[in-house]
Amino acid sequence: MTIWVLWLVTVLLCIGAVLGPGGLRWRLSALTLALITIACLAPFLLPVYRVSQLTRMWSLAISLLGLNIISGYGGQVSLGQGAFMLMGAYTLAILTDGAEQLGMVDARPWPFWAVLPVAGGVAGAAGVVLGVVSLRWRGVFLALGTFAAALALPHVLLRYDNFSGGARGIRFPATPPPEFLKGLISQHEWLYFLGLLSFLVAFGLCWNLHRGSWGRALVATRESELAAKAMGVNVTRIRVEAFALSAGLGGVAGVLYAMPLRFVMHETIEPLESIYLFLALIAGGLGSLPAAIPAAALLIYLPTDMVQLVGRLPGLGVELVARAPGLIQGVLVVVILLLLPYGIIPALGQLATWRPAWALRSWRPLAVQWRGARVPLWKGRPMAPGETLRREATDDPNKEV
Amino acid sequence: MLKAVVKLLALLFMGLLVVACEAGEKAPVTGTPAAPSPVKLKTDHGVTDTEIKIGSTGGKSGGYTLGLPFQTAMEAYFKKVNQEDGGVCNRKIRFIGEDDQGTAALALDRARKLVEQDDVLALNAFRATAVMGAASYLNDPDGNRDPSDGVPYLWTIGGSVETADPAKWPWGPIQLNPLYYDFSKSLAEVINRLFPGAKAAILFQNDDFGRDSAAGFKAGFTGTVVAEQAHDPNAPDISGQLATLRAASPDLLVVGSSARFMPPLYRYREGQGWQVRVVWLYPYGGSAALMQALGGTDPASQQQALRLIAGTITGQFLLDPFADKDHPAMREHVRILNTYGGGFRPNEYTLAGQAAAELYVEAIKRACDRGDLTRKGLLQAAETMAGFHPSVFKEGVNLETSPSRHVGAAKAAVGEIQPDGTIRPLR
Amino acid sequence: MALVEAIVALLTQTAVFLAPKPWENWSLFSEQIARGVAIGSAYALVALAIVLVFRSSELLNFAQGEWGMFTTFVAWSLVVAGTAIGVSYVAAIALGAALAAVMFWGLVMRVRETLPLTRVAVTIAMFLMFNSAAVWIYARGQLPKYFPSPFGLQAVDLGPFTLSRHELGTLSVSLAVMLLLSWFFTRTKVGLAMRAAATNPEASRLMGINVNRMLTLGWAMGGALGSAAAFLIAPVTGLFTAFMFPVLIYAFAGAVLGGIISPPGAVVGGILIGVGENLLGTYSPSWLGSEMKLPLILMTIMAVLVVRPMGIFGQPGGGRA
Repeated sequence: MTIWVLWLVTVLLCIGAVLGPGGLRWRLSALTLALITIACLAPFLLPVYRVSQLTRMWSLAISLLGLNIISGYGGQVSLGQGAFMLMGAYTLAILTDGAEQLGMVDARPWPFWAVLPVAGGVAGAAGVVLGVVSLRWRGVFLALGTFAAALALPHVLLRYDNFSGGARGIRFPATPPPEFLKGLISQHEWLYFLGLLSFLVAFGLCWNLHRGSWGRALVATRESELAAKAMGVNVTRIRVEAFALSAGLGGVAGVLYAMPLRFVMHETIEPLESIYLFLALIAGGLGSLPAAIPAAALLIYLPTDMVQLVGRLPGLGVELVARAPGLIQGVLVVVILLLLPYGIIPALGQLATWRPAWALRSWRPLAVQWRGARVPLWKGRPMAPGETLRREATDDPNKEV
Repeated sequence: MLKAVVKLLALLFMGLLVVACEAGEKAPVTGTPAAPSPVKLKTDHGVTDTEIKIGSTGGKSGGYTLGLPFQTAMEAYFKKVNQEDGGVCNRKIRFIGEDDQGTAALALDRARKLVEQDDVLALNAFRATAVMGAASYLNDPDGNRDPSDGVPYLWTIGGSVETADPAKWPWGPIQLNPLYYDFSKSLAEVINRLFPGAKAAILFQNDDFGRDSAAGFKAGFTGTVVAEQAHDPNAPDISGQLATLRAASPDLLVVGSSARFMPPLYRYREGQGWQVRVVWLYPYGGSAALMQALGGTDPASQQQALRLIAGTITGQFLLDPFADKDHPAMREHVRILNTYGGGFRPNEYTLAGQAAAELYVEAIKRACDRGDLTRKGLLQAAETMAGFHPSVFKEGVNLETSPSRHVGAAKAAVGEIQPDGTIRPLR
Repeated sequence: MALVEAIVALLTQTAVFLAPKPWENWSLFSEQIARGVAIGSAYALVALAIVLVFRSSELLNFAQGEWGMFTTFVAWSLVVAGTAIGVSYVAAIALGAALAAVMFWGLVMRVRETLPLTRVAVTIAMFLMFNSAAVWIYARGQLPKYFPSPFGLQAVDLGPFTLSRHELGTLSVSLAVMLLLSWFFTRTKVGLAMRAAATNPEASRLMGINVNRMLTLGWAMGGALGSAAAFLIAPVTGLFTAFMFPVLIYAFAGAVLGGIISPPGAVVGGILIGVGENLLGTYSPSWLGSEMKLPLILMTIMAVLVVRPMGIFGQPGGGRA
């Protein structure tokens, strides 16, 4: 089964969820369930290298979730997510490679379930530092500052190579599946499910935070810092925490990113990747958590399949693909940005304004004639002719409307 | 809003187009052996009755694009062998070149695609990060710690120094270029003979090439190192480091940096009237790289450039496109590029690409003669090639791949650039 | 404990020999400063371009360097075909201005009603596009090529130190450009209109200023400045498709240091970066190493911004005056 069929089905399901009948909560739950089912079935239906591409997609999606927290909800431009991923990758390498870079600490290789939180913690600590200095930097200065951090990290790793392996890098063994899964799934399926599970956990965490008071406070600081402060939000704390969370997610993503490589060196994640991550998030939709998935898919498929697809178009041809794949990628990104300036997920949201009239109907049985007329809804029931929303001056103000 | 709907429908349509186009995506080829050929030949992957598939990944877009000349030259040479020599082992070689932007993750992705979807016999890659990104996978594709199902990773450009040990990396990567450490060390040994007891100042760039070269030189050098400065491989300006080195009054300025830093170095040396001899540790260095960077197209600036670089000591393992332009192998290389490579202009990386292609052809021939063109057979054939001399290697430099050492070239052909741009060999 | 030992070893690694201290060798010190000013003035030109664009559109143009690189390649083809270098220089600048105006009109204007971050993303996409286009068209452009200097490269003895004619030329060109720009903005009607359009677009429209035209003009000037700077930098670094990457970083840093909306700030920032880069390259202590120049420069600037977030000449609150 080709992977494009799976993606087509996914897209159709999403559109169906937007345009389909029923309440929002029901539709979203059904969609989530359907997508998770597809995601779980995918590794058994696809060729191995497609599965490993999807594994990388989950890792990038986690990183993009983090980036969305700080850039989408927090409104702060961060061009340094790649650096946090690199930190996570090195944490994995140092802790699992069996060579003692940190003395007693990593004398024996650590299991993966311990490495993930540690990597998140290490990157999160770096995020705290960045968050503290970001309090003084604004907008464009912050963009440059985070990019400077992304540029500096490989140099630091290279220069101080006692524990980073410097230019030689660090080789570490593959992460085997845990005992109870040993015979059941293969190595690539294991990495895939680890990535999927981590993404779902991270997504759940971010979703919860977003809907809770912390998330609302963070969005408030984006809209107007002054107003947020006036409402009692501790802007300093929220921002530092947002950076820490964002960086921590980047660190975890870095671990998953490096696991299939089994090798890490200072150039494994380049500063340019941070810029690509940011670009992809914009194309996916800044400020909406599910945008991590189309953004990650874009990062995976743009340099590989999308460019080759352009090469198959008659006339343009193979020479262009062979000689200027970057040009094609840039043009494709520009096309996407021009067509969907707010991103892919917000465009889906916009589509909701075109829900057909029959889908607006609630599923509660009601004997009401529609006759094609657009009947206003209030409180989930159609209004009787002559009934208005406005309260008359003579009405009792305490009567429930 | 109508606009949003139209846009989404357009994207959906493109998506359907993609699905339709990709409907031809082949099912993954598992390890079924090819039909036995007329010659009794064992094969497992990448070999049919009519063709042999060789893959390569390299940077062709994004931040790193030097993979382009390398792959162009490999493909051109394979085309030449197919058309003029009737192929190898009664089969044509099919070259599949992929773009990995010089990054590790994409290199792994493309390597997976080449191995799992295209089922190549062997592949190589360009740039250390990319090479090492795919290396662990190629040594043990299914990750079950059993390396018997590996893929030969032959004659890459760049890698890690650790990969020379076949016990740790049985399937490669076997680097085509000499390990920077060995290369600089052999250069240092020649320098010891020519300039006993000299004082050296070392300038190197802060990456694997620079650091390993500097370390190798220091290991082989018996004189005194009076100063050392490192610089960012992307820095636009190194005059600060040069000033520091000059203040230490060395006899030799040993440089472990790439070609882009040589013009400011020579101009600084000339401008300051600094009478130091330059020793360049770059394996792809030589007159060609310097003339391109300094020489320009009009005779006056070329004369001036030759004046600046005369006396420089370089080490090379490939022919020099400028100094060796009348060498028969160089002429043949130009002809091959013109006929089969779309007129691509030769440089150090096209020569490296042709070298890699020549080595593949020879390895396939040897494997074929032994009757074993499986992946393992190809690897074993490659390991017998110590002493083989590809036409584009410098005189006296041979391949040194053996079952105990997974390296490519290992020695440097040391020479001094003459005032007319030719290179006089030094021993 | 092994961890402490590791950290100590870290800090005392690779013995890198130090340059003589500044007070031991004034000639070296003054030479580094002079050289830094010269290269800094080239950074300053690019920083000026960034500031011009930022003032008018509140947008960091990531593609600035690549346009400069692209026009320099075009100029190189002209020179190879026999055109005089002065003519090629003028052609490159004109092309840079035209390219910027067209790109602004065609792409950036299309997305200006959307999120500001989308506009930044478009400039990043343009950066990728132009880089690839150059690689495609000038396929052998990946290894550094010789690019002639309009001033020649001979050394000129200036007393305690020597500079090359090219460095002096760069300095003079930058100075001339800055004077020209300052005259333009303060003494001409068009300049005044541009400043007005940047400060308060609505009021300017009411006064009859065609704000879109002013914006396009601002971008065109930015493009011209970027090309002018790239032309002067290529002889030093060699001409290859990536030569403007680090320059762009330094220019961003300089613009940000100077206060992102202030042209004199950009100039001062660019020169400070050039000098700082040179001094750091020469006098770094051994435990840091001179190869850490780029991250150190950026970290220093970031530290300055922590103390004074609006940059040297910036207004508190990020005002656009």
